[in-house]
Amino acid sequence: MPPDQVRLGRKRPVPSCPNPLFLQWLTELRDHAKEKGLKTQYVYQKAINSLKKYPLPLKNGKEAKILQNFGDGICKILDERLQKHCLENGSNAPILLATSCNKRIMAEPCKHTPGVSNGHKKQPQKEVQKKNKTKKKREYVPLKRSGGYAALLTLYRHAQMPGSKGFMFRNELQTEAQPLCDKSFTVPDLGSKYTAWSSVSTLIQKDLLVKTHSPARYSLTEHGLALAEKLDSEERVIDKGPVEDKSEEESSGDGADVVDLTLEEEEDDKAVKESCSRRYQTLEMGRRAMSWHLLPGSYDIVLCVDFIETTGGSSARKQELVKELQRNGVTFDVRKLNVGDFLWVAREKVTPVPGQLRPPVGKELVLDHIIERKRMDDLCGSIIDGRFREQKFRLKRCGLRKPIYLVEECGSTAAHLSLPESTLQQAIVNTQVVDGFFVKRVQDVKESTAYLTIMTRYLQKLYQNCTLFCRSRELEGYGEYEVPQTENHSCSLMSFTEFNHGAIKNKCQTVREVFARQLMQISGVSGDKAAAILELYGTVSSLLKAYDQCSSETEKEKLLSSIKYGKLKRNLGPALSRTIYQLYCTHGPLS
Amino acid sequence: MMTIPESHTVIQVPLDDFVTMINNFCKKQSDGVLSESGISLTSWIRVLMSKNPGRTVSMVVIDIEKYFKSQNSKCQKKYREAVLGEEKDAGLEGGQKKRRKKDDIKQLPNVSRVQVEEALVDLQLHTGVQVRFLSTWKDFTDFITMSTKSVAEAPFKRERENTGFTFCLESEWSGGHKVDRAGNGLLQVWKRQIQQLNRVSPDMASAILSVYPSPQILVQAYARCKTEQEKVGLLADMLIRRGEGVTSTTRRVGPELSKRLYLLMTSSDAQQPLDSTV
Repeated sequence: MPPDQVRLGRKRPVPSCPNPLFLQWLTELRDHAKEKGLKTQYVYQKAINSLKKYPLPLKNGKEAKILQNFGDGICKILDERLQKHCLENGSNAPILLATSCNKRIMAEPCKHTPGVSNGHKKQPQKEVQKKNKTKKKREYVPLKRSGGYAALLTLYRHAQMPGSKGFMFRNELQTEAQPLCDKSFTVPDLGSKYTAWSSVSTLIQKDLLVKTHSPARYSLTEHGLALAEKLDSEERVIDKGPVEDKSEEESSGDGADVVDLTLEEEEDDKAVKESCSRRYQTLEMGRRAMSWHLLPGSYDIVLCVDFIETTGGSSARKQELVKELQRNGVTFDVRKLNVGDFLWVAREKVTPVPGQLRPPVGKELVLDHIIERKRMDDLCGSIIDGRFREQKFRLKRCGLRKPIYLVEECGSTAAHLSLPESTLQQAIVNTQVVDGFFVKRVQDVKESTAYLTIMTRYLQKLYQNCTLFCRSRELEGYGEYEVPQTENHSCSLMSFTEFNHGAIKNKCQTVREVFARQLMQISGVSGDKAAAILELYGTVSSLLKAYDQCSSETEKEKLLSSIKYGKLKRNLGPALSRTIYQLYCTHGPLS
Repeated sequence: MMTIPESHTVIQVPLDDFVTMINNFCKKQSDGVLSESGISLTSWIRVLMSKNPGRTVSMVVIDIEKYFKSQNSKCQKKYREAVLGEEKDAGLEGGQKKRRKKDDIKQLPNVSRVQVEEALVDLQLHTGVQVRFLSTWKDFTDFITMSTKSVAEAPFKRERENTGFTFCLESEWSGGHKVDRAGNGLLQVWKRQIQQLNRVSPDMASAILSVYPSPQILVQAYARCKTEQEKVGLLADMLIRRGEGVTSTTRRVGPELSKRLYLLMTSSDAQQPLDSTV
């Protein structure tokens, strides 16, 4: 089904009648009879009622005989009409689509859903429908305090701020929009996997929002801007008293003094200014929501174990890990980590709320230490299939500044490994020297657990008197590692949600990224060469255009040869230039 | 000729010193204060590092197992003696007494494996310094050899990764595909290019390849389409043969992949995201 025929309220459009042509013809016949005042109109009407109840498509009039009120007469008429229809439109004309039949309808664009071509409402519809004219769609207005509402309003207000960058990152948008929304952007309700964030895809579909770049940036379209402006003015009109209180409650323990200031501001301002400051207040609340902190004593340091470490494979050994940790009295939590096998979070202590089963979700910051555990046979396999480099690459980019490689040697010297021991040892040394990882060697799972136990205890002690500030990598970029010494009472860390989302493996690709990977499929094209080509031709189509603009084949062949790449600014060379030319300019099949 | 020292540094710590420092650390832990002027591992390293800024330090200790074994046998001996009583030692085991004396001279404090681990974690969290335990001097020379090789190759490898791309190609990539002067091999390249999109299997790529055996052919097919919708859905209904014989199945390429490929080949916006997920 063409995508622009989706109606409100349903994900998939349901055809209102599987036999629109028959319905249409019968209706015409009925109407003709009605005009003439004939009693046959009732005959046709009975047939129509019967047909409407039938859910399957009928191939011809004869098949329709099975229905009640369809006698020989009507079936014959339908068959005749069908024959005429096929003659007019070719024998393969689809009988399910009524658009080609009626001449009046032919003049219109294909926006009708099948079965409603002649304007009769078969089912009660939400759209206002005028006979044989394009539907007037009911304008979309998001429900107040819904995800879509909050997102639009936040983006609008963000863009209005002086010096705004015009777009927002995912985490940023989620955090700043949350105070305006009743549903959580991050935690789905019980029994569902959807959060308020899911409505953002609806906004994109409705052309109110665009998502560009990777990491994703969200900004309003013109259409969205107009709608958001209306939402904003509506909100300003209404008394924001109760909303204010809510946002006060939601702002984390910043201290009463912060909130008081804004209240004072309010009292001083006049009515006009008041509404302005209120608008900024919500934004400021959002901003403060991003820059929250945890006071010492208000959080626990908890070890997070990737759930894959506890299941699958030789489950006996993996369960041992969990049991050992329990025996050692380690506070830990098993969850899905998108990168790494073990890490630590500072989790806000929360008390259960009476009347709710699940305690409120405590805020979490992730500590900079992240562990990748590798048994010697794993290491061997991952070096061979290339995962080793990729995993290290992802660990380096995840935003945590202290990666650790935990290698379990488990007496593997004689083990039946595919690579010689010296190769494996060299790989481990490389990880330490070249990649800068901390390498911890142990003998077996028990020693691994011992290490995890001791690390957890020491980290807990280390962060005892530390105030932790939330730092957003989206907005503030990478920072320096800070050791929480007793002298240094504060640290800034990334939030767990931002971290885990940022580390997802198969993230959305951009044209640029895939084009680069494609170029590297040619032997001889390395990362730096591809980067150099992309400086000039960021997309496939721009490269093709450049080729088109060349005046000769020789020129095309040489187009890329003098591109400079790498530290030493060497030439790409005529050979590679020629190969790429052959790839993209050969009009016939490649070999 | 000027020599610039590399930052990577290996310090070999004699076993005795190592154990002593660990012991000092344990004392510090339990007493809260260092009773003697004993220095712990962490503080020693800290002093070293402050005197040698710009150096990345890592430590090696040789044959700590010997220490643990001797500790074990010492404990066992003491236990035996305690059980069997002191009378036996007085007369007959003169020789043993002498041996014991020798032990006393080289008396090392008793630290357990767990205590060593704790000191190492303390060292890690405060200084980031790693400790490698090796069994023999031969292992030590091997280790130095490997470290030398790593240090030598490090700049080249680091530069290689510095492409500014957010991805690492290593997973399924065994190097690029070779292409000769005549252009043979490009078909394989084109096939692999199609597979660079997420979630494209070799079968899907083969199916697309069979109808569009070059990028130009695909681009021209797009150009021949009359509407954008047509272009977006151009490949959606293409069938993919999966498997052989009785277990073979047929699947479509699908509208989602069709759209992604369309965007890839025709978009002029390098930052255009291909997936439609939020």
